[in-house]
Amino acid sequence: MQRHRLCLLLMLLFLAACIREEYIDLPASEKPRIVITSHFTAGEPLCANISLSQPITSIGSPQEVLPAGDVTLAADGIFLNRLFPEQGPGGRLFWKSRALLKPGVRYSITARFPGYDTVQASDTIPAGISAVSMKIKKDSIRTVEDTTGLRILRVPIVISVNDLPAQRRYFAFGLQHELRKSGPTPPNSSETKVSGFLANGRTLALTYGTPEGVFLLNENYWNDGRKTIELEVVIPYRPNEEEPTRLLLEWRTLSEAYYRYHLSLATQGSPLSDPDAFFNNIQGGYGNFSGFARLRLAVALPE
Amino acid sequence: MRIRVLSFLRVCLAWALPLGLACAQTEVAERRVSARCFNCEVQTVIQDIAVRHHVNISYQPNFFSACPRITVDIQEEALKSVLERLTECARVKVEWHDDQVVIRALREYVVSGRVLDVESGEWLIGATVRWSGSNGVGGSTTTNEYGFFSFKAYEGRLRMSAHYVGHRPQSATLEVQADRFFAFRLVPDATLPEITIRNVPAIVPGSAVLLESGRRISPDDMRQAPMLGGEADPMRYAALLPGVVAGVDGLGGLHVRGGNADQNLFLLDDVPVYNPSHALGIISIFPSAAIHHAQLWKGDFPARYGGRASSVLDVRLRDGNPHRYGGEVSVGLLAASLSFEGPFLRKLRRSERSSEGASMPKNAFLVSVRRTPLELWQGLFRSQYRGALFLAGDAARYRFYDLTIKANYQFSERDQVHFSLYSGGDLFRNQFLQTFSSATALLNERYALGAIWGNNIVALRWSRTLRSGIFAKTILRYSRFYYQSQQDLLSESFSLASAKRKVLANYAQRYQTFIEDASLQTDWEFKPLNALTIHAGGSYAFHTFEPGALTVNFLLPGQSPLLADSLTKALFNRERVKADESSLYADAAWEFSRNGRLEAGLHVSSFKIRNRVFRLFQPRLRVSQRLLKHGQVWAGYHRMGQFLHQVGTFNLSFPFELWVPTTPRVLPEETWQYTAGLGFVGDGWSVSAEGYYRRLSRVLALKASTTALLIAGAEDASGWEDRIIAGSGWARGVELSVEKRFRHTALSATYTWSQAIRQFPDLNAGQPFPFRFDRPHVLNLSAQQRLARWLDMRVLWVYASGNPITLTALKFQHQTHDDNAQVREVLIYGSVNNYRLPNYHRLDVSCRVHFQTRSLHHEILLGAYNVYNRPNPFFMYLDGASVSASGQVRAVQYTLLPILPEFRYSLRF
Repeated sequence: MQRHRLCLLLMLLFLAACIREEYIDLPASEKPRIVITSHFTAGEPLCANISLSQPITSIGSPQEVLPAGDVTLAADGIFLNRLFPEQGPGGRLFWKSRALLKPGVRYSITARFPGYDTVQASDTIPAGISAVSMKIKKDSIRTVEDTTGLRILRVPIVISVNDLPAQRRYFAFGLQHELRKSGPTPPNSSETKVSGFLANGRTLALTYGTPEGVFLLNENYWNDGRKTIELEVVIPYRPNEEEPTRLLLEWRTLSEAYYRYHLSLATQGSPLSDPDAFFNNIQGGYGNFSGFARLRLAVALPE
Repeated sequence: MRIRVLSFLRVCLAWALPLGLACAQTEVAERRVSARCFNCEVQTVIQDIAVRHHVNISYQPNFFSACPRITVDIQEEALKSVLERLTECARVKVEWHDDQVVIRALREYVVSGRVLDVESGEWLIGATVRWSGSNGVGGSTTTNEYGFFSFKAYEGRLRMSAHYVGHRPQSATLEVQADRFFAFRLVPDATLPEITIRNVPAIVPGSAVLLESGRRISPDDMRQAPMLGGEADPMRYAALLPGVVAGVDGLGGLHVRGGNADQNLFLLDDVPVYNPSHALGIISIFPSAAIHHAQLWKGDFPARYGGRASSVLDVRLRDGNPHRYGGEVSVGLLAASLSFEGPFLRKLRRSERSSEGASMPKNAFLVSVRRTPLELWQGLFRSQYRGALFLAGDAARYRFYDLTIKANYQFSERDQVHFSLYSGGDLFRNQFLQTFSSATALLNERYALGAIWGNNIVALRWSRTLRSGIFAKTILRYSRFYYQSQQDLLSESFSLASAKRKVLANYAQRYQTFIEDASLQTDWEFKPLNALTIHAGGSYAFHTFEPGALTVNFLLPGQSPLLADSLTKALFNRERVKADESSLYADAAWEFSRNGRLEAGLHVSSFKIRNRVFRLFQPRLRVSQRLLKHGQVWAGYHRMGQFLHQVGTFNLSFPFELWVPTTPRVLPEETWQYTAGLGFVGDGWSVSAEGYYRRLSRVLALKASTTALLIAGAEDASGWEDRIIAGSGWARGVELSVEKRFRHTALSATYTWSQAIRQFPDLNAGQPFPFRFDRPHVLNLSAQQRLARWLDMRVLWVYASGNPITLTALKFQHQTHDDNAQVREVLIYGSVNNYRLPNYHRLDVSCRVHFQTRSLHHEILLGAYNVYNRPNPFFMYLDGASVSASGQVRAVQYTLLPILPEFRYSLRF
């Protein structure tokens, strides 16, 4: 009995000492700053989400800056547009330009809101590479079916990049598949879904998911002289209700600001690794204002 | 008859001739000569005597070039005594041949030998050997790590004495007419002062031995210091020295002067050890009962050491007692150990022991085994308090073990062979079983994980003392470090209605990494001059790396095992890399004056991998000069490099972090260190201060991401060359040390101010940031008191600035207009390592009771680690969801080592 008491005492001491809640003073807190998040590409108007930074303890959506401000866009230093607010997906407010954007032009955004520091950011839509191709290894396509009737199509593909630049190899890719619905309503309609994929360990280790729905490729991926990416696309579907018809590839050529920003985000959120400092290219505020070039490819899946 | 007469005459002639010659010699030697000269050179006086007294005296005038001018007034004295007096100032010998007198230079011979403890048979390292010849020439030297010494002495009678702390000096007289070998056998002195401060810089006032680089740690130092669990440990002891920082509360490796943990070279009897600790760094692998001594160099290591860029911890094991069997049983809270030693060829020992004058041959073995008793504790806790912390789980098991075998055989007084074997490892296993039930089904989940890791080391060493006084050792060695882990998850449901079993998830992972070396090294030590000691040698190592092989087998929900679609091929990385490393080195220690010493060396190494060769040139230089009566100043420049790197997400030198080689894309790391210091040692006190500045180039880190494959206990090595980033860094600091010894009390204080910075182009926007183990202020205070003959008490207080970590108080939401885009919360980390954890401090107290009953020596160590239960932070994260009333952010802090008892009972027999 006494032995048990001793053990209990030791255990309590151990537990009491091992975890402790503590209130700390973090690096001096600052008043909210304007946050701009915008990725833009050629042939589309500029859309920027403008919000405020928050203390880490705040819960819920950030307080959006009301449209009382003045947001302007300049091209190569010359005034181009005054942005206007418009409701976007999810009812969020975006500041939009009327002019469509072009590659190679240096766009600058300036936002002035009463009570906050004026913020400014600049970036360019890079010249996108065009010699990208996607090939399906038809002989290696496999299907796996589980007991619930879900069928999984595994489609090995090879993405080739033939005009790989010598430097600034900043790319991202996204995969989607198109499913033709064979159900009653609506008949013969189709639906596009984001595809998952498998790859070898090196490719997975050098690929980072982003909130944009595309996967960022580490620039070191191309270090060994390769010009291809081999993936196995995973397409789950229910054969009685739908049928995969096309595989869609979105290939993005990124500006450096786009690449560095998402690379710095890739180290956040894991207690196991040290986070990198967040890449910020907004002067006077936070966020990211960066351009990218987009290339879309579609390949029909064999029946 | 005629023949007999001739034989008689021949015998007479044979006797008469030498007698005649002897008479002639005696006649010349005793011839009375006179000379008178005022302020003359010695050779002038001799020449004058030769001419005036018709004596043939041959000599070379330059024999007397070092002699001062003399004034003589010799009246009818024997030529022999006159010449002896005149040649006293020169290193010459007078020989008498018929009527010819030959004055020739004295011949030099090499006197070498070893110094050993007569009771234990162990070689005494750092013992001082002093000598003086009949011509008045003398000097001193110290023994090397094999107890070996050598010096050059002139022919004639030589008086030698050997001195070592804790032993009675021994003197001997030798007639040197050829190269000689002599073994001193020192008797331990029981009448020495009761407390010996062993860690004061090894300079004795008045001694000719100057302070050398490197800090020696004796087993007594470790035993007397309060240590975690009472376990004597050279690594934890080294962490108390100025300039050395342990990882987070002892977890992980050592960080010396701003260096990474993988930049430390750990040697166990000359063999590199890749994972020097058990239990993620809580305790080192070095068996305390078998340690002879350890020596730490904080970057200023001699050129004979290479392969790492920051420090060397050279641990030497005892050879075993060649005279009698004995051993030690020790039981502590962290480990229980048994060691046994003795001679293994007793018959041979007896016959050789009787030969006086020869060195004492050593044939002995030593076996030491150690194992953690933690399983007992775990079992106790598990049965009573299931679910507590790391003991959570249904079958949590952890243990480590060490096996050390050492044997040596001395073929002759000059040849000895050592065989060393070390095998040690850690094992961790745990299993979680959970069952959920509903009205229609049962859900079973079984999660098992485990890991084993360890080192295997074998070495065969041949040491030989050549007649020319050269000490040569050649080592054939093998070292392997391995890590393997596994995880299995099986989730299945049982339908109560249909009694059918359905596999919901089945996941299995196997991971392994290892590094293996086979190497050959030869090292030659010789003294061309008494003031000059040269080490030269080379080594070749063949490395094999497996940075990490990950295999995964994954069944999708609902899949039957027959349809198992394995990812094995997709995630299999069994890359093996082979490399050759070779090195050549030479270093010289030159006592250029009575008070000055210069150590200079060059270590050149090359590394061949994938048909590419990388080379490193590492010059080392250190000058020391005696200052006033008790002091000394020194300065040094050292350049170090390494071809092997350990990288991982934690950068804590955890066993699952990867050892990888230099490749064309991962270049060798290099460090430049400048040091300068001064020290004073008086009777019972010492003060020293040393400053350093260090630059690090191509420091490596693994840039991990949250989406990269990182599974607990495994560090997927896929594409490791492409995930490593290289940067640079610098560190600077000042280390102060004060020690004072009274009769029964010893006090010491060490303080370090330091700064360590890192800079990576791919981290922190290319801006410099504090190194993760940068602790600007470290203060250690220690007091030791002898309360009775059988009772010592020691108190240690450790204070250090907190480690920097990366925290933030701000966030924003990332949202773009794209259809597929998701909202993500982004934490605004302004810079890396922008916040410091609370300061670290703790108080350790220990009492050592030691007594003897018959031939058994008992020692009991009782104490407490972290007496006032300071919750030193091991890890901290922000609880963003809650805030204090004062508006401060709430952080949750994990502490690794709270108050812990220390206990060890040792029985030596």
